[in-house]
Amino acid sequence: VPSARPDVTVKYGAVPERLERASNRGTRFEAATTDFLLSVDGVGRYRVENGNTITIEREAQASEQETRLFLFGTTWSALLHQRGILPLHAAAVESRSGAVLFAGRSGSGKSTLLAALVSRGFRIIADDIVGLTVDDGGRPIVHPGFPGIKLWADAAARLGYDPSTLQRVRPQLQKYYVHGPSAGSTPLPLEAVYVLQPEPRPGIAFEALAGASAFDAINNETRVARVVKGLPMQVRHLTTTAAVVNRARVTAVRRPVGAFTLDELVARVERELQ
Amino acid sequence: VSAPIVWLASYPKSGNTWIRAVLTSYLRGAPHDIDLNDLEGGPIASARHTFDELCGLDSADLTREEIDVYRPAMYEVMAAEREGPFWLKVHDAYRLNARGKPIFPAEVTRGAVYIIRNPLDVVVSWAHHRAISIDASIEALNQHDHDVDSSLSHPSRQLPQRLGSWSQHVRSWVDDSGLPVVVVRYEDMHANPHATFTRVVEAAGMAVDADRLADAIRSAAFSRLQERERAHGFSEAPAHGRFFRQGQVGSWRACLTPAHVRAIAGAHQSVMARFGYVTGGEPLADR
Repeated sequence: VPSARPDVTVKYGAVPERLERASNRGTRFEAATTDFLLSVDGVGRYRVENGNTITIEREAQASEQETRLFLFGTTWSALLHQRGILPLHAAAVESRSGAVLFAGRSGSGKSTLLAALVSRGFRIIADDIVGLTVDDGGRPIVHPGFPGIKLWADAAARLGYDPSTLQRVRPQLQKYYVHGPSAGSTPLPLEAVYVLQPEPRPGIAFEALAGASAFDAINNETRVARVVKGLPMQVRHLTTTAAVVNRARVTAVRRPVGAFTLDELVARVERELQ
Repeated sequence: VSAPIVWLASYPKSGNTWIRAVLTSYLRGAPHDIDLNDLEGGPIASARHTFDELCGLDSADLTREEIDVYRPAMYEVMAAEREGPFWLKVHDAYRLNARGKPIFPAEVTRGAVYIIRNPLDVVVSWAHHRAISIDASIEALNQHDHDVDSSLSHPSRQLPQRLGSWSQHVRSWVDDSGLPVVVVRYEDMHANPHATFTRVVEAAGMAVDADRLADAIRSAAFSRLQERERAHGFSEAPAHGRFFRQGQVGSWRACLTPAHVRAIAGAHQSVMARFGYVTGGEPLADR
């Protein structure tokens, strides 16, 4: 239900250098149940509080693009964590009966696959970070995210885009945003998750996963999982992951490291989704 | 409390994984069931996923310089969270990042084991591993400031790493790091495994149980590792073949031409001589 009061406020303001009561730490972040701090040298500090407030203290030299890049990356994942939404490292498209996710680590090819599917007429739900919850009926639900696809110059060019006409994600990187039609702002039931796993062996293989192996495959793709490790939200995420395993198809997609197999992969995925 | 990390540093294809297999068997005491995909010393210090998870930032959104600036803290977090001494495999050369801080900080370092292998054999093994020609492999070993996994647009499972030339790599750890380094020759792992692996365990400041080590060495025999790879696969294997291929000393003699040998020995003469790989101008595979 649309409401006049926004769910999340994003503002510029002062952000401390350290959190006083952090229970979880990484190299660049500190977190407690309702508080999170991220520091990106040369860009700024991001604080997320109570699942509804993001404060950014930007460094003078930071470009607007990169300020946004780290807002809609790690910071957004932390916001989802605080809100009890499981942030998966994945791309998502609309399917006939809901949403289909392509999860995988950086370099697994999910953004390139997403862009290829968009060129075949699929509509984007999100790239890079996909939020998941469970509805009252125990169904996993996919929440729309940012429909901008991040592509390296060569992948963009291969898909027919002219990089010189695209916006860079950061001035220092040859990585660009590609846009496509959005599936809209309505949450959709999850139909399937394909976990992209580059492997040191030739050929593309689809393997249906169930039980513990499906659970681990999903769990491993949780974005910045250390933020909630040992905190109450981790339990909620385990419930969400279990719902995915019980109610959606989970498939491992193994494909060779480094080899160019996009066309074959897209054809296989399209057949699966028909 | 002493710092926990013992770096298992080597140029690729120099016996690092063999040492990890022996350590895995030795430390876990399950001699006949070495899981190649869960070896001690892993994941490698340059594993992209480990960096992303510990850092919180996605390395694919970072420049190479930023990654290097954040790497030392990654090992500090690991050191703070893990019990006791632990080994960590690394193929990077020892070096400083753009802020002048060592990528592999002394503060978390208990010691380093530097594994060295005759570059004539490394060239052959590296060529097979990367599916490149012997000439290309020699070019890599001879190239000053050589980098691997450095493609930004195709992020591999590892972060960009500077190997340097083979000689640069050796000197970076043995001479420049200032860390307590135990040098272990691959050829000695073959010729005198018990004494050699004893030095590896002792590098962690641990007392050695001789019987247990003997068991571990037997269960990590090359033929056993090959069997495990055939039966269960190995995540570090190349796409086109096996990781554990020959594991021999001196296989260069059958593969390299005199011109190849001259190209390698010419570039690495002094380091080869220093570690016993050249005698009277003639490179030898073993002493």
